[in-house]
Amino acid sequence: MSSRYILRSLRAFSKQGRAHSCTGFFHTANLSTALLRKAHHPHYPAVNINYNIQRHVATAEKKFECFNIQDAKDFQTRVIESPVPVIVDFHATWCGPCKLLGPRLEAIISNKEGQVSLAKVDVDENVEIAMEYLVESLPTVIGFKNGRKINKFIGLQEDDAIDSFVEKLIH
Amino acid sequence: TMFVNKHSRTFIFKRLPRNYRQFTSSSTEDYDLVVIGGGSGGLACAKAASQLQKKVAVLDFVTPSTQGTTWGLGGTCVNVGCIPKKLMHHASLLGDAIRDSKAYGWNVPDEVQSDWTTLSTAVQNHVKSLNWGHRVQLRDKNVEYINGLGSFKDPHTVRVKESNGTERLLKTRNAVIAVGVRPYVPSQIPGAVEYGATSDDLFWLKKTPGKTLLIGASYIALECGGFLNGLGFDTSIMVRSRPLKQFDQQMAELVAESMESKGTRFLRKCVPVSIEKDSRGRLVVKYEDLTNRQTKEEVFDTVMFATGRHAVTNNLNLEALGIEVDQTTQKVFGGHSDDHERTSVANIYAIGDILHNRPELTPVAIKAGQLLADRLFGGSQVQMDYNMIPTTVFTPLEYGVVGISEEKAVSCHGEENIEVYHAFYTPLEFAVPRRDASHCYIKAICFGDRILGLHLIGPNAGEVIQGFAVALRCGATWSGLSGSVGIHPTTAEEVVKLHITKRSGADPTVTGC
Repeated sequence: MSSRYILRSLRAFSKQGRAHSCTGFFHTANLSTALLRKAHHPHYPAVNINYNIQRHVATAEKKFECFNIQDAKDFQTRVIESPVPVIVDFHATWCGPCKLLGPRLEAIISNKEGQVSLAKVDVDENVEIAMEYLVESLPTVIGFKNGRKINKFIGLQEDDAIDSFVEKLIH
Repeated sequence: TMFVNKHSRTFIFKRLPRNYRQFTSSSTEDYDLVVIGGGSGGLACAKAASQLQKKVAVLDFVTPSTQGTTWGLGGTCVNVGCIPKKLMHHASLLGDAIRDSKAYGWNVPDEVQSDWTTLSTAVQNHVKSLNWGHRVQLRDKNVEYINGLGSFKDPHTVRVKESNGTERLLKTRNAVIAVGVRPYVPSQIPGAVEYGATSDDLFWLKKTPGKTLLIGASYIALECGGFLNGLGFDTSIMVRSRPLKQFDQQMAELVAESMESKGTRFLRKCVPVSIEKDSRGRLVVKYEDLTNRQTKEEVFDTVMFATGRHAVTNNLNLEALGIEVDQTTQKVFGGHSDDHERTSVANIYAIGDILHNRPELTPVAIKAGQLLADRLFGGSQVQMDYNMIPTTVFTPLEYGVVGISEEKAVSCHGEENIEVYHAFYTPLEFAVPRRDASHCYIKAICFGDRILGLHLIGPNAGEVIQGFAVALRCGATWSGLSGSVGIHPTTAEEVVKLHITKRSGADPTVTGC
């Protein structure tokens, strides 16, 4: 494992985030954290947990970056100034469809081998960012590339639609 | 040197992308309207004014309740009133429906339990989605929203203190006070403020309410007691004198009796003396029975005060401006210069629950706010009509009413001039499961051909009365009403079928088709 990989893992551990902060790094310690989070998630089907263990123990390489946005400055650095395209998932704790969309997004983006990152914005914690990007209904997912809004979809979508959305952003 | 004046500032301002503009308004720019209070009235007024191309800001801030509960944008109705109340009322009715369904052939278990956490989470999630919806609406309608506590510096300057401590001064041509009211907890009762919950807390309770005592006889006490009982909690309501004092007393008694028949315990003519916590964390309530002066004691899990709602205007600085408030209720007087909502200061208005001597209802606040915006900025002269406002008490068996009570009609016109048509009826759906319909009752109070009041107790009374309220506003007379053809089979048709008078002494029970 490279030193940069270790540094990033350490940063992920020390981050002051909410209980459902997600990390895409499925190395063993993170795996148990990820399992703990997913086990408590009411909408997360148990079968996915096993699937993820098998996948990531087998390959054990970096999959994708996934993070919770803390504030406007965080959004600027990690989304606007990101060298890779970023998919921003605007969600809320009270939004049912958001809880279903989240895992679908993570699963699809994890297949893209780091070509795209996933940023999660809780609209209640980051009202100004949501207002700035004219978010109304939830979930709203916006694709950013080179600091600009490229594409967007609203509401829970099927895996196919999400996949083609992500592909369109990357290419 | 670059000379920056109001023209170049506007030049720069207008070149900013539209979505940045809202967040860069300077505090020296004049507002056409600043609304203090982001509830039903405040939001409606602000949005209506903004539609008329005016520069509007709305201030909203929730001071935490005695138990520390707080909530988002939208006011009492959205967060701790109508919305969560109706959802929980419906939840309790679903329990009845499940029990009734057996008679209709459904295979349901003998005992069904409700889960408070599932219910309250679902209700809170909906409320939060409404908070969000209001934020989005304000943005869409170009109304500036400030989460801060407002007060008046002078009639044209509102000081707002935001939650992060920053203070701003907003210069404005007009202002609207729409701060609403909050539950009153009698602080002279030991333990009341410390341990007593209110309607501010009930819908946000993390733990299950358990065995609950509600102190009060208002519609809030009865509605909350009603759904708590329906959800399966051991519920008692402590009433000092009579239930629903502000309503028609015959109807109020029927409502209370219907609740008692469903298992809610009424502690009549009792007053609380003290509340203490025992070693297990439960609440020990000492109370006095006014009929025999005996002091009794009982343990509850939750004690909720519903002993009135009062205005919290002391931090608005109204006195310094000379805005008159009622000495008892602290509510703001309107009615100056022939404008129902104008205060004693010409450019300051009050709408909603904070306005003295007007119904404390969301649709009243909304309509008053919209009409006020039209008068201020749209050249309208139309005043709010506070007469014949319909309302409904959402007790398990609902009570819908439009117009005045029988007592008021008699005192205004004399008993000999009033004709009351009434009926006890049975909703068809009650027949199969043999539900108790003895409290389902309608009366129409008439003065000649004029209908002064229409009162109905029954399932979905709120839905039923709405249409009749419109009819009465349009001038429907008794002959028009009784000459109308009903829709069959409904409970609403019983209104047009009324024909037995109280005066006749005949049995008012409806029999068969």
